[in-house]
Amino acid sequence: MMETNHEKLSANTVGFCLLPSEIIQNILLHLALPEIICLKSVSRFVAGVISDQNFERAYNSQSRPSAWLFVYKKRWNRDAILHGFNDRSGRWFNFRVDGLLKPVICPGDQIYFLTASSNVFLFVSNTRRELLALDLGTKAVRTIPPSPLGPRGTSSWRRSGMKLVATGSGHFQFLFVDLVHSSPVLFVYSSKTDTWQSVEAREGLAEMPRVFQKEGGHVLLDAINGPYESTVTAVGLECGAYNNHAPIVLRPKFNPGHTDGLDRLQVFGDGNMLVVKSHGVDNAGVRMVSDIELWGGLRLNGSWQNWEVVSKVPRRIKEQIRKPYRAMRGCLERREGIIRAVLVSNYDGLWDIIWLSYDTGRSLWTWLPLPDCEMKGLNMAGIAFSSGLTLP
Amino acid sequence: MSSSAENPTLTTEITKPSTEIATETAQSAKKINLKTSDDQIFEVEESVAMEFATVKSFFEDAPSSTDTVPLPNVPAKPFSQVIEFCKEQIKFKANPDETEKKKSNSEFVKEKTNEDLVEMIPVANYLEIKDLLDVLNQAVADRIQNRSVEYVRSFFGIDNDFTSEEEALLREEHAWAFEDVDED
Repeated sequence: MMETNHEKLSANTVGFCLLPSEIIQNILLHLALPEIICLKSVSRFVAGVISDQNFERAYNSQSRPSAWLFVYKKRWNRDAILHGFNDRSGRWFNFRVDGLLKPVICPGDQIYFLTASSNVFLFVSNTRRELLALDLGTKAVRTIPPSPLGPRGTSSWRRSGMKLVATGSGHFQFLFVDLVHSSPVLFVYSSKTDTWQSVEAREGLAEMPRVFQKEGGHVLLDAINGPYESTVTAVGLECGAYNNHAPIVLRPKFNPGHTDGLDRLQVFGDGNMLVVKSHGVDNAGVRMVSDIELWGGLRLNGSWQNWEVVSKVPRRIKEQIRKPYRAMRGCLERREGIIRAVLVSNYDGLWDIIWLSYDTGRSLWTWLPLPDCEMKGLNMAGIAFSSGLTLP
Repeated sequence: MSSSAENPTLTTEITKPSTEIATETAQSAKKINLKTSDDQIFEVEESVAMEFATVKSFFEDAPSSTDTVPLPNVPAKPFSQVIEFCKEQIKFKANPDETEKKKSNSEFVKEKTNEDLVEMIPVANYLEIKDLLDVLNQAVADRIQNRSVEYVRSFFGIDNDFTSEEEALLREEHAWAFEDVDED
């Protein structure tokens, strides 16, 4: 059927290239970045439309609120695959990054995916305990020198304690917080200088400095998440703010209340926490989710005394997502008032990924059903949210 | 200029529905004649014609004009489909229901061929029907997403003007983005 359409079209020679390029751009704006990149090889005209600066600007600004979830899959005896799910397109994309990573990896390297932001993807080689950064826009790949804490493998990196921040024109900063002699220290790698800086966080301030306070003006990195208290470090993002204003330490207390004999999984990220309560359904370790709560409590003025319940996932969503599982973990990000969380569970080799988002402005929960990403029997070597990919 | 009485509306399959409505509501609704690039005359209710920003401003510039409005860039075939869309849209103006409107829009594009969609775009653009243009852009994007470069070329009837070396280079440069897309 498609063939006849093709023939009809070429016979009529619909003047696609006669359309104002503004309209062609409007069509392309509905596509996801990998699709647009592929279309560069359609014709010179289309390549020109895509490389147009106005189009790049329009695409980058409209794709900013959209979110990607990246999953790194290990396949037995084959290249690993980076899968990306985009909330606007509603489908999974394959990112063939292994070819690009080749110059910095050695045969037999165990590669894990740590985090991503904009076009930059951060991996860790578990064999050499080195960080590898890949920029999909420029296709530049580099090995990051060890941080002042020395080489680290996958297990040393905590998701809620690190952040990759794209700083424009292909550059990025990678921030992480860790305890040194039991006090939180911020480490910042800048791709511009290819060096690390470290700053000890300040204790004893009741709230954040004013420059940190506006949404997007700071990042919150966890140093420790203890059972009754968290140690969170607030880092100002304003150009070099951590130079003039040392990151500050916030210690919200956590009172979980009655546990009702339920098991609790806590997923931290960006100053929020998802508490997943579950109960066992048999004696063989199979569990079911009972409740999912979102916790926060950071005040607008930057003070944070206690973890507080923000909202609970409503029953109608809980009923849709409830499935038996044996193991579960998750990740959580907050960006521009939207909190997104994924819960990844495994039941006898079958993976299930639950994407939940909470709009803090409208107090609204949404469940985004994800099509199967063909994970059966595969190993997952990293999962992370990321802001929109951008045209270079 | 000839009036519509002397230049009878072509009773093609396309214009038939509008002439039927014309007899039913002859007294109430004012009609406007629109002449396409292939010299077909469409008698369209004023409320529908006013959906076309280009036609609307034609009347705003010359309010007393009762002549046939020429649409030199608009062929009859896509135009009849554009009229079909606007008639549906008007119903939602009186009775806004976003869910129903979305449903109606998706029904509209679902039954159109690729060729229909691509042909309607310049018409919607010329007549400045923003809603339709948005619907068409989305529909076309939906049909080319997750498709091969070859498919997109034939979808729009675009000739590949890259040499095979250039194309190979481009594909290599962007190899990360090329996944196993549906080839058909």
